[in-house]
Amino acid sequence: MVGMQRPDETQIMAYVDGELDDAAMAEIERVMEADPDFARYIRDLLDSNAALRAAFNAPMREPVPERLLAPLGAQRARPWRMPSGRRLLAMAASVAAIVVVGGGLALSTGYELPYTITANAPDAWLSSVANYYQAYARTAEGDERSLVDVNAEDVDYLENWFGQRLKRDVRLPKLENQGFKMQGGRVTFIEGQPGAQFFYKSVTGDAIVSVAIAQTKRRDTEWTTAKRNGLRMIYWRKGGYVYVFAGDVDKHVLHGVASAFPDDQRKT
Amino acid sequence: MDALFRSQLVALLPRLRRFARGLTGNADRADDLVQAACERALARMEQWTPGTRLDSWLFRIVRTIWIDDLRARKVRDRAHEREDLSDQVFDGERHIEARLTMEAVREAVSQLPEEQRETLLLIGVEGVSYKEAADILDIPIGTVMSRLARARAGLMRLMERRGRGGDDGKVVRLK
Repeated sequence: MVGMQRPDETQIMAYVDGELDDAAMAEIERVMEADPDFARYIRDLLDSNAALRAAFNAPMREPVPERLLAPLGAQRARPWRMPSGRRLLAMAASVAAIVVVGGGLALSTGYELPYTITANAPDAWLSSVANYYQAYARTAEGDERSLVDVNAEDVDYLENWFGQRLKRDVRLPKLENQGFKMQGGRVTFIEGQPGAQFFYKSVTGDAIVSVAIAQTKRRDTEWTTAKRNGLRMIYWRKGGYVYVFAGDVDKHVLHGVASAFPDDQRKT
Repeated sequence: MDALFRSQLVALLPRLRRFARGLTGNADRADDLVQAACERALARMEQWTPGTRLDSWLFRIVRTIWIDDLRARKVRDRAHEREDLSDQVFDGERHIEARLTMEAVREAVSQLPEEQRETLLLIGVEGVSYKEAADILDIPIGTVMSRLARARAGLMRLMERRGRGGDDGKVVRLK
């Protein structure tokens, strides 16, 4: 590695957490390409992040004890079944507004940083989706169940579960015709808004794609391709939602998966 | 307001339990903590501004009660009261190796200093942004980042040490 300086630890942390702006992100990726040891260190950090989440994720799958629910006037939820003949839920729920921090954050105390950290750095969310994809893919031979909040055993329940959290009707993409089977999903934030990221594995077990859906305040955009950490991605925005596909797969495969998305949620 | 607030609070219970369990290292104590936080949240409902992040507000309450509890018990310098949570994470006997790894991660996290642990849990597990973590912990964002860097370095060091079979089972507290 000639002429390149390794980023400092705070830059590295911000990269791992998807909090860098595009220029700083690209700089780190350039160093990763030139320095295999550094790239391995970043992968170790991403792995440890994934392991951390998996190690503490049990409460997301456990029933909440009655002693916590009762004072709130709630009862333990039962698995939800979609009424026959209906594909979408009609859910009337107000959307909980999420505070979107605009622009760069002023670092008034503490470190003097040579770059800008933004809570909604343009497209930093793409790296977040990519990072979690890669963490998930690396555990594919282990216990990937620990990396999702809800498993795919009951798709109806999964749709309802995520629909309640996104405050919208959720119809999970069915990708069996493309050779991919749903594995599960997790709650995430994309562009500062609540969203869900789903994982699909090929029937042959050798490929994984993820589909992320979130609310967005940004205007509709055309189908856009991107790469983060070498991972191929496609995204678009339509009607207040952003759709992101990611996969370490041939571009034709990813395009095919994205094209198979339900018509009402397709690209503009 | 009341009904909406309560329903949003119910929806956040799994995440609150996860955060609390990471802080306490003990399922029962974590639920005690969440219960106390819910009671305080209901009592101070009017202090929450609709349209702002309810989860951040609740994380702050959970964390405040936990810190108060630590101070009251004067256990800040003692080892965590941990329990084997492995059966709650995995079903049956599958993935024994993964289970051991998860156990090692929890063990390592429990050995981090309190301020590093809470920072790591908020960002690494709960996925809050640096800005939100700074607000919840009431510290500058630069401090969040330095604590996070130290926490991750400590975590990797502890995991490596465990991988080498060191420490003879002794609890090591990092500075």
